[in-house]
This record gives sequence, structure tokens and C-alpha cells, in this order.
Amino acid sequence: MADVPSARRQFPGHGSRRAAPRGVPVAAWLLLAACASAAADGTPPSAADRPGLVLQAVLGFSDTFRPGRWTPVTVTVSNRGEAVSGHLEVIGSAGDEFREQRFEVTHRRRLELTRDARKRFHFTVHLESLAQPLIVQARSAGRVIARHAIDLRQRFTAERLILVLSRDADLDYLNDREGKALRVLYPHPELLPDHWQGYDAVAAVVLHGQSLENLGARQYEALRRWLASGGTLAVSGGPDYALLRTPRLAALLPATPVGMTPIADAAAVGQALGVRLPGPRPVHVNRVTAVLGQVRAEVDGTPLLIEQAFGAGKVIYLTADVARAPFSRNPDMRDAWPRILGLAPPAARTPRMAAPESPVPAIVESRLRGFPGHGTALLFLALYLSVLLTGYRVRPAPGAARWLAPVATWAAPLLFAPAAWLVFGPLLFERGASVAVAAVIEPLGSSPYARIHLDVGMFSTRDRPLALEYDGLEPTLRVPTASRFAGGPADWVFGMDTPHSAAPGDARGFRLHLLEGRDVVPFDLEARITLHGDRMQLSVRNDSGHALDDAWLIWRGSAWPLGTLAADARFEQFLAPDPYAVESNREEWWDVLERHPGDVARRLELMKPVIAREAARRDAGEYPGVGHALLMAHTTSPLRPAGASGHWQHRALALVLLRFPTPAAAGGGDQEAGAYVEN
Amino acid sequence: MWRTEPLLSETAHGLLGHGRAQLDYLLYLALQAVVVFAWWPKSSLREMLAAGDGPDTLLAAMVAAGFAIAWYSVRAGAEEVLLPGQHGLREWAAATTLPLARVLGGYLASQALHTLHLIALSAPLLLVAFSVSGGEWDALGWCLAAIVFQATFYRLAGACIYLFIGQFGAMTILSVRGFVILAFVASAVFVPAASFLRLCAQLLGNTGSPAATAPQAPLSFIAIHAVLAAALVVLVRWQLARVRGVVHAGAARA
Repeated sequence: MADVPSARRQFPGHGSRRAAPRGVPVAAWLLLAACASAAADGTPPSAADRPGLVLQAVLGFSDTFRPGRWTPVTVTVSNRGEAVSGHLEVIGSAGDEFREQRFEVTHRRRLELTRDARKRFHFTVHLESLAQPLIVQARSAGRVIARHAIDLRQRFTAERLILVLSRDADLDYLNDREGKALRVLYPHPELLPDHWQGYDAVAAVVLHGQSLENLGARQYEALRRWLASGGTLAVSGGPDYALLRTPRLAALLPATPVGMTPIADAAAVGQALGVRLPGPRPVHVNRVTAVLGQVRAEVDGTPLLIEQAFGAGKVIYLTADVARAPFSRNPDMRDAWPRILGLAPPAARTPRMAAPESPVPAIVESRLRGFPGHGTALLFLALYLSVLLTGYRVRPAPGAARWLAPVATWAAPLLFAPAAWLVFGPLLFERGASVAVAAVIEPLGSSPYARIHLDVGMFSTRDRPLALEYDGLEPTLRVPTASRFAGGPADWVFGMDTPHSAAPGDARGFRLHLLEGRDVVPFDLEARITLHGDRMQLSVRNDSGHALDDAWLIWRGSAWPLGTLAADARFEQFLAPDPYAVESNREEWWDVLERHPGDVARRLELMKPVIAREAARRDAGEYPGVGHALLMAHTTSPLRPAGASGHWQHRALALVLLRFPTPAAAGGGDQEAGAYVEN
Repeated sequence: MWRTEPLLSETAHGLLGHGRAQLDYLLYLALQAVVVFAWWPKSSLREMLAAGDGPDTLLAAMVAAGFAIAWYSVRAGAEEVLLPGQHGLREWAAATTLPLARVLGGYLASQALHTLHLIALSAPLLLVAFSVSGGEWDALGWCLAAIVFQATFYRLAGACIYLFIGQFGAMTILSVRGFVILAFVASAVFVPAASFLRLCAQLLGNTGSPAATAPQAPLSFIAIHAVLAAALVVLVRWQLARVRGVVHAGAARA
């Protein structure tokens, strides 16, 4: 045997060390590196399970959003790995961090992707807080498999947004306007929102050289609904006017372009538009026919600016080409554009009013059965004890059948037990989950749409997770500010697939979870009052698809009952002198309705706060106000429990409020008011 | 089984009879009814939803039922209340030649039957409270299971007290009552896992943790009482063996 090397003599343990298994040090280093990497970016190790799944998110428009507004989020998911089945979630933060009242709101969609597939998902989220990033993540089997965090602090703006859909138009000069608070963005049409509320931060959309045919069906419908709810679409003319005759755009434009025509007097054009136009060169504008809207500017009979109302919004047609001289890069257009678009200065906007109390608790109290009374409980308990006492006191006669004894002993409790559950449960008190909905439906005249304001409340009398599944609407829902600090806010999860769902994270019973929401839906209802001499005729066209029950006309402090207005029907009635008139200055018209012996009186306590809120929203001292009438009726609730919530107790108050202008004066020939709602 | 288990059949027949034992529990039922009435929801549903707290009717009713059955069980174990025709443990040990294991087995079976009967009598009150309190069936089930094991423990405790100091009437009465009160209070303060009050508060209170998600608490409670009951069974058997030994020795001398 060879002599032991000298190193072993100095380090006795050296020679006896066994050879380590191969690969162990390498594996240890790899494990250490993986843990360090996960710790560095703050994501859990499981988030790296699917390296083939890539999430790309675009926030708002061109990665810009306004805090406190609904914002579109477009997520593109690319899968280069195995098929994925799970959920895609967008998680935002809301609430007051300083009072430790922060909560999370998750919007969730089903995610199914095969290998080498890519899908785009649209979300609409309400971003309040900038402190926490917006998280976009994919989940499968309960684990996060991909995650992407968006830092909101680098993407927000306080200005109102103007979206320019054009390859050529340049409106960047509007960004420099001091005090006007405008920001111009140039989003790709593919990334436009697919829900109308995604335009919440948008003041106007300017369309030049583009058609709307490339938009998806949902995107186009979202644009229409946003317009109807108060948006502004400005369409520029130009030589490529064939785009303006494409079906979708043609349906919105207030006139039809048929060619080009030159206007030699550029100064006159400038004067009409309020812009200083340089040079003697003629201005080429679209020649139009079938003008349906109001011509706001013209030169020698050639319209330059045509505007037409669409619901509460408007479509503006500039027959000139804003991307060409003399309009392009004209500094005077800075002042002209806000005037053309009808944008009010930000300082003139009405400050946000304090949030009114939700009518949902009143609906819960009035429509849902409360606890059985003390008298009922006392009666039942006394009856039970009396039966027992009688059974114990009364002895069976000698010779009575032996089976009587167990019946006498066990019958009372075994009969009274199920009776107790039945009587104090399904018969007298509703167990399980309930949902109460208050909806105000406000038809938007000159459009087939109506704006809906929703108040939703859900609760359960049992300690179990709640998840409301619903259909009929796709509203954007959020937790009302007023309800957040009562008992602490809960996290919420909103499911965006059909049926939609809303689930609070608090599973405790007897907790009323409130939500408020908005939507714009097809609801075509029109009313007008026509004067025939000294007689007034009311005409109503109901193409909403819903019957209107217990309808009333409110006008000049008087109220006329109209009964039921059937769906898809026409109604005409001469208004007789009515018995329901406001008799004193201290009386409101809804006080008058209390004297009516019908459903209205019973529901009036629920309707009053809703109507008062609508009146306050208009900053009106009275409602419907001078020069306007109000058609008020009940209808079926647009939001209905569905799916797994179909068995829930459901109580709803759906109020239709159609406010329309009325004739200026009675008598002196036929006079007819425009039948379109002024909002 | 009824005919081969004399203690069990004795109890089953006794339950069909009429006597002071039934009237005693009827009084306890009346007290439970008073509790249900006193804890009946006084606020409207709207007020409770605004406060975010549900009624405590079921919690109060369950605590009342658990305490009443425990109180009754310890008195029954101490033979203060006997069903019509029912004999005590000491008599079974001294006057029969049945193996003590069989005597104890029959005793535990008859005690379980009696407890189930008491629960059945309280069931209408509990279900009235259950309906308005929005309780969960699994939580209710756990509480009733806890009552059964608790009653077993107290019945055996009463039997122990009676077997050891039964000849001192007044002391037995005081010891039985004091034991129940002390056990309830001490467990609530020092051994929460063994406290029926805390168990009911956790399962039925407004804590947001239904029994379905937290079965550890009732399982711990049941396990503790099962272990204690097993220890008491050993004590009772030992004492019964002494009683039988004394009787046989006396008979032999005679």
C-alpha cells in the first residue's frame, strides 16, 4: 500500500472523506439560484411554472389612463407551451389605504388556450389608487402560472382624453393648452374598448380617414352606447369620403357625402368656424345631401359643420379635411377644436355631489319578509310546552294499546321539530341568499338606448360564500364609496363570462353587500305632447320590448295615471283635467301620488329617494323642471339572477323615467314639442 | 338488543312512563323556551343587515340546551332523578350477577338513549332558533354531538359523586351542582378547547368560520370529553367492584 500523503497526516479527516455523489453541488446551486430569482422579483416560485405563457397588457389608451375613471385593459395571452385551462385575472386596488380600508377588486375571465395559440381579452376596470400596481395574472388549478404587474404611477394623467383615430391627423397642439386639461392620444382601433364604460375618461373621439368596419361587433356597439350616454364623435371629411359611406359610419353621420366642392373664400370658411385660415387658396369640403342634423356653420349654403344628437351625445361632421391645409398644424385650431367639440372648460364642470344613500336597504325592508314576531314565537313555544305537559299529565287508560305510550312520549317533539323548521323557515322567514335591485331606466331620446343606473344589494342569512350570477345586463359594478366603511370593505371578484357574476370575499351572514353600476342598453321609448287648440294629447311609442306598468305623466305640477303601456305598442290619450294636482307650494307631485289608491302609493316610499336622487343629479330645484314632462312607470328588472343564483330570493324596483321637452305655450293652434329627450 | 340489555330496556320503558324525571326536564324546557324568547331578534332585518350582525338566538338556545342537559345528566348520574322503574348502578352491581362490563356498557347505552330523548325534546326550540339565525346544519350537528359527549361525561361524573359520597345526601346535592357550574366556568377560562360555551360561540357566533371549514374545535371538544369519560368509567367500575365485593363478603359471612 502506498504511503499516506503528507496532507492526510496534517488533516486526519482528509483521507477518510468519501467522494460526494456527482451533480449534488450543481443541483444545490441551481436550487439556490431559483429561490434567489423568485425572491428578487417578488413572485411566488409557482408563477414560473409556465414559461411558455406570456402576458402582454395595454392599460387605457396608448398606456394612459385617468385615475378615478373606468379604464379599458387589453390583455394578450400567448401560449407557446402546453394547453392551458384556467382563468385570467386583472386585480386592482381600491379603498383608503391611510385608514387601512384597502380592498382588492378582481375581474376574471375564463382562459382556454391550446398550444401555440394567442388570444386577446378585454377588461374594464375602475382604477382609484396609484399606490398599488395593477396585476394581470393567469391561474390554473388554483395556482398562479403567469403574472404581470403594471406600475400605475407612470401611466396616469389628470387631463381629459381626446382619441384620434387617424393615420394622418395631428392634433398634438391640443396637448399644450393651459387650463384646458386635454390630452390627445392615437390608439390603435383594435385596442378600443369593447364596453362603453371604457370610454369613461374620453371627452371626444375624432375620426379621420378611417371607417368603423374594422371594429369588432362589441367594439362598435360600445362606441354607439358611449355616444348615446353622452359621448362626442367628430368625423372629418376629406377626399376619401367613400369611407364615410360605409354602413356603420353612415348610420351615425348627420349627412351623406356625395363628392367634393371647393369654397373659394377661405376667409369666410375661417370666419364660420372661428379660425384664421391663411392664404387665398380655396378650401375643399365634402358636398353633402340628406342633412338630418343641425348645420352649425356654413358658407353660401355649403355646410361646414353639421351636428346631430345621438341620445345624450352628439355626432359632429366636419366636411373639411382636418389633416390637410389650411387646418393641419394651424395654431388657431387649438381654440377651435374645443368649441367644435362642445367641450366645457374643466373649471365649469359641476363638482361631484356626495353619494346619496342606496335605496336597496329600503327595498330589503319593504319587499323581503323580516323576522317572525315575538308573538308568533311565544305562541309556538307555549303550544309545544302545553302539549308536552298534557302528555305527561294524562295517563293512558288501563288496557290502552301499548303503542300509545311511545306515540305519547315521542310524538310531540318529532312533530313539532319539523313544524318549527317549516313554519319559522320557508313559511315565515326566507333563509339563504337574497338580492335586491333598484334600477332607474332613463331612455335617451334620438337613440334606441336607455341609460340604467343600478343599485344592487345581496346578503345571506347563512355563513357561506356568496356569488351572484346574473344576466340581462353587462353593467360595470363597483362598491359605492358610502358603503365602504361600514363594517370594513370586502374584496370582490367579478366574473366577466356568461353568466356574469359578483362575489364578495366576506362569507359572513347578515351582511348587506352593496354595489352600484351603470349600463346602456337598447330601450326605445319616445313620448311627446301635442297641443290641439286647448286640448293636449299625449303620444307614447313603446318599442322597448318591455311593458310599462302603472305609468304616470307628470307635467306642470299635475299627474295623470296612464295605466299599463304594453310592449311594442302606441298609446295616445287626450289629457283631461286631472284630479291629481299639486295644491300648494309645500306639496310635491310625488306627494300627490300618495292619494292614488294603487300600486304607486305602496311603492312610493321606495321611489321617493330614487326620484330625489335623479332630481339632485340634474342640479334642478324641481323635477322634471320647467318646460319638461316626465313619463314614469314600473317595468321588469333588467338585471336578473341566473345560473347558480336562479333560486335566490329576488326583489326589484325598476323605474322608467323618461323626461322630455314639452310645448312652450298652450293654445293658438297645433304645437308639437320635439319628442326627443334633452339630457 | 332491548331484551338482552336489561339497563337499556329499563331506560326505554322508563322513557315511556310518567314521573318526576319527565316533569323535571319539562321545567328545563320551559327555561330554554324563556331563553329563546328573550334572545328572539328585536331589530328588524334591515337594522341587522346595516349592523352586519345576525341574531344570536341559536347560540343562546344551544348554550341553554347544552347546560340544561348537562345539569340534568349530572343529577341523573347522581340518581337524583330516575325514570319510572329505573334502578341505580349500585343496585345493579350489588343485586345482580351481571358482569360489571356489561352493566357499564348497558349504562352508557341507556344514557345515550336518554340524552337523545332530551335532545329530541329540545329540538323544536333549537330549530325555531336555527331558522331565524341562519345557522348551518353541520354546525348544528357538531353542537348536538358535543352535547351527547358532554352529557356522557356529566352523567358519569354524577355517578362517581354518588358512588363515593352518596351516603351524605346534602353534600351529594351540593357537589353535583357545584361540579357542573365549576366545570363550565373553569373550562371556559382555563381550557377553552373543552368549553361548551366557547365551542358554541365559535360554531354559531358571528365569526365567519362555519364548522365546515373549522372541524378541529368540535373534534377537540369531543376527544377531551371522551377521554375524561373513559377515565370516569374506570373509576366507576372500580367503585362498583368494591360495592360488589362488600356485598359478596357480607353474603359469605351470613
